[in-house]
Amino acid sequence: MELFLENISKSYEETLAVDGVTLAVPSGKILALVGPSGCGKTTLLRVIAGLLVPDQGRVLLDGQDITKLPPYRRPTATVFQNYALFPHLNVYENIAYGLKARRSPGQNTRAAVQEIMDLMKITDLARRKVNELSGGQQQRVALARAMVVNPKILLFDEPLSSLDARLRVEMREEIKKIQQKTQITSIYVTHDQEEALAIAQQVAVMKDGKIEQLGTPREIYCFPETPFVAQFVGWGNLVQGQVRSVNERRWDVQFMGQTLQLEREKSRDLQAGQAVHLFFRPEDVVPAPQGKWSVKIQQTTFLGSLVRYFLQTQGDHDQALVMDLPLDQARFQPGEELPVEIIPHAVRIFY
Amino acid sequence: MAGKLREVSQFTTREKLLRGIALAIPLSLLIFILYPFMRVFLASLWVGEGWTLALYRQVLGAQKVGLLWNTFLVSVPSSLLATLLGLALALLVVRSSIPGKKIFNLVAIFNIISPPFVSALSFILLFGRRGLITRELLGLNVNLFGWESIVFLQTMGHASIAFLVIASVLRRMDRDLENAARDLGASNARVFFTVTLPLLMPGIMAALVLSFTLSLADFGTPLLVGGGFRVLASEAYLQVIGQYNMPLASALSVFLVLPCLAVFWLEKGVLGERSFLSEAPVESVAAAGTVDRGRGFHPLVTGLLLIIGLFFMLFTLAIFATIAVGALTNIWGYDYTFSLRHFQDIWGQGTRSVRNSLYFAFWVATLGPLLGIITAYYLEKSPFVGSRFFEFLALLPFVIPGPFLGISYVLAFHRPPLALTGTALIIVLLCVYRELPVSFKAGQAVLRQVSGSLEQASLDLGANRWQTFIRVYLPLMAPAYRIGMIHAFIHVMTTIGAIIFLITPRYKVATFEIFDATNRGGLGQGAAFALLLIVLTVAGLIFLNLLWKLPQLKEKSKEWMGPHGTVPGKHQ
Repeated sequence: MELFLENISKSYEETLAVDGVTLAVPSGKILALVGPSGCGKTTLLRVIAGLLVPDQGRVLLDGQDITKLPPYRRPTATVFQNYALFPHLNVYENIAYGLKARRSPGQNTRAAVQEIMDLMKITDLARRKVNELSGGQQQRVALARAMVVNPKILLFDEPLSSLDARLRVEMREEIKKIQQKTQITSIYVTHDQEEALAIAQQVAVMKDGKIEQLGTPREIYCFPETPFVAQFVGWGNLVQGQVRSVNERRWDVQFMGQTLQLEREKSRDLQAGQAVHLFFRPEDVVPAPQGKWSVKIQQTTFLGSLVRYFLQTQGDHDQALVMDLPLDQARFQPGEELPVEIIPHAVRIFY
Repeated sequence: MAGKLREVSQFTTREKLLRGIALAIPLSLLIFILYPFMRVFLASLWVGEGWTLALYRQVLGAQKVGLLWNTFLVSVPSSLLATLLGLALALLVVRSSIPGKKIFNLVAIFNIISPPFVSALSFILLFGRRGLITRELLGLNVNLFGWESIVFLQTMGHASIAFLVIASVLRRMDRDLENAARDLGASNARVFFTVTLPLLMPGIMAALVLSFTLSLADFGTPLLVGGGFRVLASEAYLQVIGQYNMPLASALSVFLVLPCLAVFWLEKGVLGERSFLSEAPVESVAAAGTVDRGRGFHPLVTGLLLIIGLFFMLFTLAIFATIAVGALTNIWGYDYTFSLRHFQDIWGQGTRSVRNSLYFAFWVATLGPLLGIITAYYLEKSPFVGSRFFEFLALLPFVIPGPFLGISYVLAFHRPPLALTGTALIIVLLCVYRELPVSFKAGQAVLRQVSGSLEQASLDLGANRWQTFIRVYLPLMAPAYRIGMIHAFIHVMTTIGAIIFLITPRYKVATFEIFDATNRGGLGQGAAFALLLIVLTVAGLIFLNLLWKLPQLKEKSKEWMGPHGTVPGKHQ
């Protein structure tokens, strides 16, 4: 089932929540919608579910316009934030709700609920009240309830946000596994960029109701197209610079008092003298005996497999930087000064 | 060293005060709630020199058995209809997409602050023997008095309270539950009956219990528009006022209180655990913002709700218009010319009664909630053996019908050691304890919301229990105080059920005057009193709100004036 959103806009009283979004969701994959709160990702999800009607634009499912279809006629099912389990029904009744609403025969309902409860390993919870369940169990019931109606599209609205860190990672892998098994086209809304990169095959980064960048997790992380995406996804250093000279193959860009030679990108055009922003990841800052920049270590943070250093460049250009080193190379102490180099091919230029 | 010692002794004095209050609270609940309550049972069982069930036999006997039947004939349909109407209004105001629907909110509040008997008085003015509509306009000579009229007026009167109760549950409901149902393939009607309605059930039951107890307690409407139709409450009233037969009145009011306790127990015990309000109300409010208006009710449903709402609004407007016109008309039914003579008639005694109303309402509204929140603090924060029982006592006045309460105070406090009847104090006490459940419940809700570590944090930071109470809990419970204050003011101004039994000529109140005048047939005077009381209730509410905002205004002016009340920039 291919889902296509065409120029969707939706505003509440005075704020424009979604602003002309066009998006193709690949069949059988997970697409993550990620962005800060208020970026319109949940609104977009509710438009797909039919809980909201867009002011403008169309929702197409395999080429068929379903924009005006009420939610109960759509082949979508949502896993809600806080799960939205019915507190007056037990686990079994919660899962069976969708099948009963679709008037599925009793015998089929029982069999389908049993099957999904086995899949989600919640069979022995069947008669329990939902408010007696742990967060992880509620999460499983919510997923089972959505999957049992055999949806063509599965929608996840920040489903893991109320779980603790470890459980979140476990459930995330479980959702991924089940999705791969069932091949249901899924849209996964989250504000957690790490979760988005981990769970999805496609990631759409949203900001102010627009899609800022769409790509694979690797593309989003390694080749951010805007400063916003660069900074929103992972850690990084964003510094101001100026183009010194431009030739056939190279751009010479000056920043933090030194000049770095960068390989010229064919698709972009820079002028000498132009002001730009440069972005590079903490792992692309490396200690080097002949390094151009002299930095002083302000603070170190131990992160397990690596150590994060908060640095200050020395000299006239006082710039804070972040550097990540693998554990076996992390032998510096706060207060120490050292020369560092920045790996040129990892630097992204924005203007 | 000396300074430190003084600090310690100060600490213990306050600690003693806290202990004293801790003892006084349960004691006062025993004296002013449990003791009068038991006195009614005692009075109905101990006649002359021995125990007897004769009075109960008399009530259940052939002569009076109709009373029980009559009472339920009125109370059951009126509470069911009032709840249904309240539900429709709540759906209309909270859920429909009709523009300007907030007006119904205002109508309901107006309906609540209007004194009782006012709808009965309007009904008489419009449909009575000299009724404007029945006689003047239609030229009919029909008799509309009877149980049906009681049911109708009680339904309309109690619907606004049912509405407020149900609407507050509806507002706090997590809309994602309905969204989830819709998303899973349930049609709008199915969502309503399988999700919305079950989740609303606690609110609906609370509204039902409330309107049922209010209907049982109502003796005014049956007396005024029942046309001789007698119910338990009106009979108890007549027994006390007409014949001063306290034992029989006690037995009658025992029959009033038992069904109230039964429904209270049913609601709390059987349904109490089934509260479905979302645990994270803030998030559900956020989610409510993302629900589309376009996906409201079916147009037919919206239309039906709107018709019901408009009917309710028209009814309320008609009451107030009739009262206003009635108060300013020379002789209703004969001479419809403008006249101020009713106001002249009530000037002397009338102003005194109105002043009494204001006086009682003011003291009860300011002192009562304080008792409520302190009681909540003691029972929640330092539970002791039997504190569940005292919690029950604090909530009990909520379900006790007014006449029962009034009779119980007469019985309990008319002779030493607590001979208080005839004083203003007993009226204030009665109202304070009658209003106790509102501020108690509100205070309890606040305390249950705040984390238990709050007190530990305060003690850990070096504050003692007294300071913790004054600086942490009192400010936190301010909203509960305010709720109690508003409720108490409105109730004391507009109700009569309990205090009518304690009123002496010196302490007549305005609601009593309305009832008395209407009962005597002085419709114009009754209307004049009602109009005056409505105006003063509204004015009093505005005044209390301003009083409430005063500290905030002071803060603002301080901010404006800079620190220590000096003008910024001119600080030395």
